[in-house]
Amino acid sequence: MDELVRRFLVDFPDKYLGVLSVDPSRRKTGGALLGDRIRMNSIRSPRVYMRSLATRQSHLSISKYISEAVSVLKAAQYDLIILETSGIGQSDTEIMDYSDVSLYVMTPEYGAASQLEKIDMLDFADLIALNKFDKRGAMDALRDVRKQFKRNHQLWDADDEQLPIFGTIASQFNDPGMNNLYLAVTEKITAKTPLQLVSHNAVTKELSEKIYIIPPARTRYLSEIAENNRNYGKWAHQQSEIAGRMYALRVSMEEVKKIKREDKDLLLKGLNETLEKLKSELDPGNLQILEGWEEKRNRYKNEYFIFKVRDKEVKIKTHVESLSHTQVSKVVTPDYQDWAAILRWSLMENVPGEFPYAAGIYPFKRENEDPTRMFAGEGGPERTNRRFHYVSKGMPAVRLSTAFDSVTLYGNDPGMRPDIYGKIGNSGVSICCLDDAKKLYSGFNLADPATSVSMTINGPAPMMLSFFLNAAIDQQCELYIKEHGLEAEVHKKIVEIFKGASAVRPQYQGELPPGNDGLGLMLLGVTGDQVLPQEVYNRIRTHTLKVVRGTVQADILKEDQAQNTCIFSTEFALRMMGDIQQYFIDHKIRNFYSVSISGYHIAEAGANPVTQLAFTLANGFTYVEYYLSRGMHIDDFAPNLSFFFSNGIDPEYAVIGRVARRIWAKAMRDKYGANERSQMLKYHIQTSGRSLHAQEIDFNDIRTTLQALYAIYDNCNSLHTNAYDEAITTPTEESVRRAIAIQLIINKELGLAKNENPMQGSFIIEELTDLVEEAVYAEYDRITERGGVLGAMETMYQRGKIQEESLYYETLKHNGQYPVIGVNTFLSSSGSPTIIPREVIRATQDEKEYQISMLKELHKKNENKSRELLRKVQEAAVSNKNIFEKLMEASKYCSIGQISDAMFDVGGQYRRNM
Amino acid sequence: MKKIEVYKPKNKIRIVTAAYLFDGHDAAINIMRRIIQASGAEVIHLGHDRSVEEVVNCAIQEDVQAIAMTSYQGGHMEYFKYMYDLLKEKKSGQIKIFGGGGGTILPAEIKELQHYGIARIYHPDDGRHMGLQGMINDLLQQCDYPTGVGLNGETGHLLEKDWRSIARLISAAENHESESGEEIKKIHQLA
Repeated sequence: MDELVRRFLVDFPDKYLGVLSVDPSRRKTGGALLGDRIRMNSIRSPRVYMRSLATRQSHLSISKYISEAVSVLKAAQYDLIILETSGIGQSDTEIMDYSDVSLYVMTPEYGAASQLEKIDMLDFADLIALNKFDKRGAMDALRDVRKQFKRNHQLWDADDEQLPIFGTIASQFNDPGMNNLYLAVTEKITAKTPLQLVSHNAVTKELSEKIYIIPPARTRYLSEIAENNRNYGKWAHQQSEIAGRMYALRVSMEEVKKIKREDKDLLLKGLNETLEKLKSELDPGNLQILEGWEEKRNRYKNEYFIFKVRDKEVKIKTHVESLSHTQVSKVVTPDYQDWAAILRWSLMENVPGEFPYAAGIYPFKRENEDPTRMFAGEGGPERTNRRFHYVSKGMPAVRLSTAFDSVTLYGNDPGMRPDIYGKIGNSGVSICCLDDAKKLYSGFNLADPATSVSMTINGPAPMMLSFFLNAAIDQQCELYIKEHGLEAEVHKKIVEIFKGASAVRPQYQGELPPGNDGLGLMLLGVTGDQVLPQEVYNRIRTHTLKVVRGTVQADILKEDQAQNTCIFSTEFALRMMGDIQQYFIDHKIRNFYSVSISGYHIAEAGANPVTQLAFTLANGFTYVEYYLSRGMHIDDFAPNLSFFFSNGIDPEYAVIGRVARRIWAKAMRDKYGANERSQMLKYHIQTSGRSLHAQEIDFNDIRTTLQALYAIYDNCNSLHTNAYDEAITTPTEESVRRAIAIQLIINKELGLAKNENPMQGSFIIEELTDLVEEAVYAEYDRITERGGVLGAMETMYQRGKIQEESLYYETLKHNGQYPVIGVNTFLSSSGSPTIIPREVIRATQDEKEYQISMLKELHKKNENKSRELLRKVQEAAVSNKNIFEKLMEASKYCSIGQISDAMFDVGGQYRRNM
Repeated sequence: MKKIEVYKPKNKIRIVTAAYLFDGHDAAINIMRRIIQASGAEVIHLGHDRSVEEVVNCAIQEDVQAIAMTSYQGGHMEYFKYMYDLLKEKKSGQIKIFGGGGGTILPAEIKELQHYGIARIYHPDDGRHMGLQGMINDLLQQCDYPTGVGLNGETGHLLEKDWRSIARLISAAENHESESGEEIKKIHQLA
């Protein structure tokens, strides 16, 4: 209905529309869920009045008062009134008594063709829409409905195309079937009523056709992966068994040689024959593993371990000496003799840096680069910039992680309207344009290999990413300008640009913090291409894109499943992700992750660790399938994918990284034929915010410490530790410092953490790894049954499961079966009350107002230019060109809100669901 | 734990539920709206990320007794006050506003908002003392007033397409068939 209303309002700008929507009352309680408004994006117009009515009588599909409601709207002279009944049963036709024109909406899922004979509305309806036309069997359904319609109306010779039956996919933006249905509705109204609706829309000839994200032939991808990986397990088991028997024969032969017997030679010959036969059944690669085993172990025992990374030789000290002069191995290998054990361990576990990467993807941890990544974001860009410099002071590697305010997360500009104003710079930083991004990261060289930036944003990720990349490029332009002594010349150009536009130039507000040398601020208000020759700029751009390091979250699937910051339709958002990835390939952006496939939010919404892992990896494989279907090569994009998990306190969190790495590596190598770099799953861990409590908040650091320990022992690639006061407020500098100390103490002080594979060889870890891995595959089969990740999302399978698991946890916590110290167990003498924070950090009025006033200047200065650039973005969207290419240009002149609005017009807005 | 009786309202109660603008936290409001429905009220649910204007317009068009909102990401002071002001401005100050936001809305802020005119903001401690049903009972009790009564010239405002008048007339027909018979007859004739 939303799609009909939207078209009507655009088509007839002077007509008024009333909507009356009826939902059933519950007989038992008298209550009702009137849920039709939630899906209606178009009714925001002042030309629409909508009223939801409950039936208030359980046996009818309409309200007793419908005729009164219709009369009220008629008396108010609404041009068109749409009546929607509650999911009409087979014989409910009361609506016919109140309407001039009737439309019956059904789906292909009505069961057997004979069911159609029972539907009265097929006798009465003027028009019939067969929605969800992308469902299996839709063409058959269309054929059957047409047949039934002809029978009912004695239209034996009618042309199928002329029947008022339309296949539609209302969930798809600008769907051709919907276009045709809309036209037919206006024509029917014109024919049957005095209202003359002459549409300006054109007829679309083609049938509704689903634009598939995942090609239909590939919807079983998850089960195929599960099967592939299970087969690997079986093969590894079988091969190890062979190896074990070979070893037994070898040992036997040694023993036989020692004894004195006449037929000894004959016996040895027989044993050797059996051995040779078994050997032929052993995979040559596995034979190599066995033959090279001693040598491999020795490499970790020598003083230095030497290996190559991208053609560079790396030499690592293999031991760390303790205060007691004990030599602690960084990587320790098992002292197995039995070939079965050796092979099994090599195939299922292996040393860090070797397939299937159970213990880690690199042979050794990077030296001088602790995985510490700290999240910050509050107020305006300057305040967050200061926090960034504070947390990274003295750190050899700068790893910034950015939280945006919710205005930004929903792709909006800051504004004076109170409901927007109140959220500017709260729980995140306000960034609405390129200049904000320049200030935010000023003083950090974004092209330095020791700098890496992560941005937690999803819906408007394409816009934020283009702000970031442009900020990085302009920083390098600035360095070039300084290097070539062009400051005065450039300054003159900038002054002229602003004089011409009579706009105020943006400035960094307040003092630069210690550590900020001002890099990135020289070109505030302009871009490098405005002040440097084009070829110089292009050269700098090409180079910068190749070296920037970081991550943008951009994971839209988990947004729809768990977190709700969707702004575009899922299909459109996915398409833009594909465009970004293609841009990365074209411009050789190899050190930046185009997506951070996130389980964190799934877990925070209540999923247990197994579900978190299963859904997240499934989402990852969905991106893989989509990118492949767009013709990208697996090894061109897989290295740009990264993962992000939550680490809570449950036992499965001890193995979440190793299971993920194993599943990913096996699928990548054997299912997708990917190279080694693509097989390596990299992931970030944040300790679980949900496991922090508002009671006895001092205990939270203890929880975080244990979770961080899980993560570090499991060899995560980067780690964020939560501040203890996060459950009640935005963390303070003091609490953030303690959170960083947790990681530093483990990494620098904790003796066992000097070893880099401390969990290998533990019986329980191995068992948990196998159990969790198999549980993930079981989930894959369940998702496949529902048509893959996207199919399951349509029926909100993931969302439902997450909620169910959340409720289970809450129930056990509530009744005390799940003990939480200081919350439901071990309460203090005062009952461990909820802690009320003393001070809460909120953005100041000055910060908010400066953001708004600068935005106004930006809009004013670039008024003409931005209109043209936005039109180019829209054109790219409509003509299936790369949208991100155009965004890189538009983001130099436009704000985030301007870009969102422009894209809503061509890609459709997110439609909520229940 | 003792079981709390469900409050039985005397009037048909309609309530708009939603989560705040730019706020995706919809778990709590989903739980609340289900209890409200089960207690016999009609719920118009708008989901997450809703602006004040959208919610207020919906409340007026639907002629509800109350709005129930959650806010978990700050900005609640401005949001709730603006909602209150906008309802008043649109002559619908009788619509009550209820809210909740876990620990994100501080006790002092709750006091200030309630003083401003927000009917009630629930704090997690309220939940612990009253129970979920207890909170909903409290909300329903405060909403238990009739809508669509005391018609006063609404029919004359129909041509302006005044949402408030349209909504009140439909409520009158729905809730007070006998008392509003005359007015309805007039409208049938107009239509």
